[in-house]
Amino acid sequence: MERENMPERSPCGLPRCAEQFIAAVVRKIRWRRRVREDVRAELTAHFEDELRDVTDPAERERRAKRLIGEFGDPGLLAILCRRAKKRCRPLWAKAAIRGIQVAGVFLLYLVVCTVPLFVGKPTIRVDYADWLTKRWRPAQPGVENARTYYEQAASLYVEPPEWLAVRRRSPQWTVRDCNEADLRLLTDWLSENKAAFDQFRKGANTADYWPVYDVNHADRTRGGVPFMWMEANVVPLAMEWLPRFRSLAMAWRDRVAYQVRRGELDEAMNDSRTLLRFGRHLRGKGLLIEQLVGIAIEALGHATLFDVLQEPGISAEGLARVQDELRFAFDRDRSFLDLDAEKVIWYDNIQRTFTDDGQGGGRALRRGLPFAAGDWRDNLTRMLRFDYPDRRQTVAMVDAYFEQIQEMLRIAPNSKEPDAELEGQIDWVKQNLLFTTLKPAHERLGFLVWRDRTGEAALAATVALLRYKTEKGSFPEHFEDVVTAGLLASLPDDPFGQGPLTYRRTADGFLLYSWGQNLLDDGGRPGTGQDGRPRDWADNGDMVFWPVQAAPRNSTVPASSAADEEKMEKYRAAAPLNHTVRIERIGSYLKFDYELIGADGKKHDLWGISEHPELTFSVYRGDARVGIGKFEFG
Amino acid sequence: MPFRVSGDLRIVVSADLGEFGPTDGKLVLYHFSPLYHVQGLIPWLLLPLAFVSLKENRTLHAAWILAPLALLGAVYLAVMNLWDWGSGTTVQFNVLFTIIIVGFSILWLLAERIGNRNRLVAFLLAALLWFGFLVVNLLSRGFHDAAFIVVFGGVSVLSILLAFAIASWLSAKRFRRVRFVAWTGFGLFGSLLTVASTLVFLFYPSGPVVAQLTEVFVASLISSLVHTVCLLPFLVLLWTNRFWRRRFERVTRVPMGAQ
Repeated sequence: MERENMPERSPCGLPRCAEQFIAAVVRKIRWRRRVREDVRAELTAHFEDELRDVTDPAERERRAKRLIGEFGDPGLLAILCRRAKKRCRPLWAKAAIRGIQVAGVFLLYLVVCTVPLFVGKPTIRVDYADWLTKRWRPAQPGVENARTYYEQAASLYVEPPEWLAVRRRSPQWTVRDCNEADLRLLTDWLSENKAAFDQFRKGANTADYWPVYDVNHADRTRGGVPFMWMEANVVPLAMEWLPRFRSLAMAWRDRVAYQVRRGELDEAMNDSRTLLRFGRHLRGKGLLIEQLVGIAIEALGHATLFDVLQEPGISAEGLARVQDELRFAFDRDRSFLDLDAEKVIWYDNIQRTFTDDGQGGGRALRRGLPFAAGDWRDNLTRMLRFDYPDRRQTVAMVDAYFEQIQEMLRIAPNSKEPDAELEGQIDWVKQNLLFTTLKPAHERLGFLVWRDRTGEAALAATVALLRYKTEKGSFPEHFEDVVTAGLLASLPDDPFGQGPLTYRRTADGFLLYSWGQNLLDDGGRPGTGQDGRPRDWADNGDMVFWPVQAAPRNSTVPASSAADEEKMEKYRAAAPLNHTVRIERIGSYLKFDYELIGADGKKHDLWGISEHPELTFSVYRGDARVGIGKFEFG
Repeated sequence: MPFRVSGDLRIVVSADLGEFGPTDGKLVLYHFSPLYHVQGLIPWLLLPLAFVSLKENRTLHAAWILAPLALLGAVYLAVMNLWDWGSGTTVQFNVLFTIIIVGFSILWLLAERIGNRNRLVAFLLAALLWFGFLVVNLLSRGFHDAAFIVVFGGVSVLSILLAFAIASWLSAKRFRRVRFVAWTGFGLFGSLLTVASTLVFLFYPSGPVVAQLTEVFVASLISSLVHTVCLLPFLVLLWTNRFWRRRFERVTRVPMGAQ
């Protein structure tokens, strides 16, 4: 009976109702275990304090219930406790939580910003491979394409035997000087290629040429590429033929040299013109790589013709025919490079990686980002502002870029200000990441174009000079005499010099040169490579077209250039030069900046006098030397 | 300039100019005041000041902090003599050494005033003091090479503090020496990587991102190893000397127990 009247007690001493109340509050806190345990301990302590002086179990039960009544709803109490705990967090915890919250919101925003990149589909409206084929194809139907013959020739081409191939790769080997055994091999190999050469000649004699990009759309291994489609489908088509075209051109050069050795000069002249025409067919049409191969083949044609022109006994008719071939040489408006194909590759990439609103607009999809992207900071800012360049802006950017490059190609090297940018030029680093990487390569194209153009003009001028000699018996005293005699429409410009190409009559002929890459007149001294041998378009001398340069076999040390001489002359004029130092104190250190001052009061460069100057300083206090040291570069 | 050198100095430059001029240049006069030597010593003078001005450091035990300083100074001199980096680079490294090693020593001498607070407050206070020391170094050099010193010194200071904070926090319940060193190393690497990559991508974004990331990764790895090795002598002192051990426990709140 007594047991029945006894109120229930928990093992810890609190009445059962208090225990249940505390458990309910703790359960409803819904927070970390540690916090729950803290609240449990605090509430338990509170009840214990209240019941400490009460020993009667019934009274304890009654008081506990009263206390529970005062606390009210356990759920509400749990919320209050949770708020209090949060309010009492240490400062670092509050800062960390706020930081995490801010980072979370930022991350969420970033995710939201990227959503448009994953939503939407591109629409392929234009077959740019087909567009490229039509771009250079004549409008009238039934026109023959020289490319058909070149492809047939390349298919029929037979590689030289291994031994001959190895010999041909040596820069010392020439058809003119090769031994009889090599000559026999060469004769056999050229005969084997007769069919290929016939097709090659037919191609060169065909008026029109246009590249063909016949993409097999059914080939899923290629056609399935979602972007960079042109790179995967069109570029390989070009690359399939280019190495063969190059081999064919090299074989044709050997054929011309073979004819020269046999004394068949007229045939050699005609075949040289064929090579020129082949190069010219490729030039200015198709992908950039095709055009560059065209320029290289044309340069090979120039070199081959210069070699033939050295031979005595070339007929006046033969010279006239070559001159006719080169009648456009001085036309400055001719385009040597056409970047339309490169631009079209971008267009295709854009159409495959942007959405299409049907009116030329649209937004970038995930893969389109690189085509619209600037530097990473710009990207991030634009992404956060939902302000990525749209399709129309990206296309405009591509147009502006290629227009700028095309404009740059039109400026001759001698008209360019060193390190000067074109007026109104766009900062490509900020505009587009891909353009930034492309630009240096595209800028380099200008040099190649003007080199080729100068070579062609020099060849035309050389032929005119040789014709002058044939007609008048001697080379002209002045370059203008060729124009006066009606053999040349005008004097050829030197894009690397000032005025026309430099001509000088010499005892055994004449000298014709361009000032070359360094834009300085080195007096007709050819530039040399690191091995000391003459190298075409080296930056330490002139590009001498006539007399044709033969590589000196033994010379290894380049002669000092006229530019060096000119520099020394400047030092002499400013002599006596004096050393001095500019002193700057940095705390307890002294920094000495070396200066070389001329009598004219101007600063001069010590490294111009000596490449490895031993530059020392001494510090004196009174008559005693208290310090000595060497200057450091930089 | 060497300490014995001051007063009116004459500087002569020599190089062979051949036909273009005389070998010896004209004399250049410069007055180097003895006070200039003191200006260069200001950051170092803070070290004895910390002993004298703070009561808790007026004991011989506190002077043990000079032992790792002397050891690292000797190693530093040997390394600098081994590799001739030129005077300009040597001067820059001297400043970095002063900021990092002397600064760390001064920080531990002030540790009683920094510690015994909330971890975040202690961290911020330590950063404030250490960066203050960096500014003193800049002042003593007339802010010459300020960008270099602020970038490299600042990155090091911040990384060391972060690494120490991380290692202390992760050792708050159970302390093991090797684990603490490992956490310090990892912390240094992580902090250097984060700080360096942030700086690189904010101010020098050039070239491919992967290449830049690789560079930053390798540089951070090597730098964190060097920093860890430099901190080791200090850690050894903090764990072996009773006086410094107590200070370490109070500041980092790491219970070392009977290690």
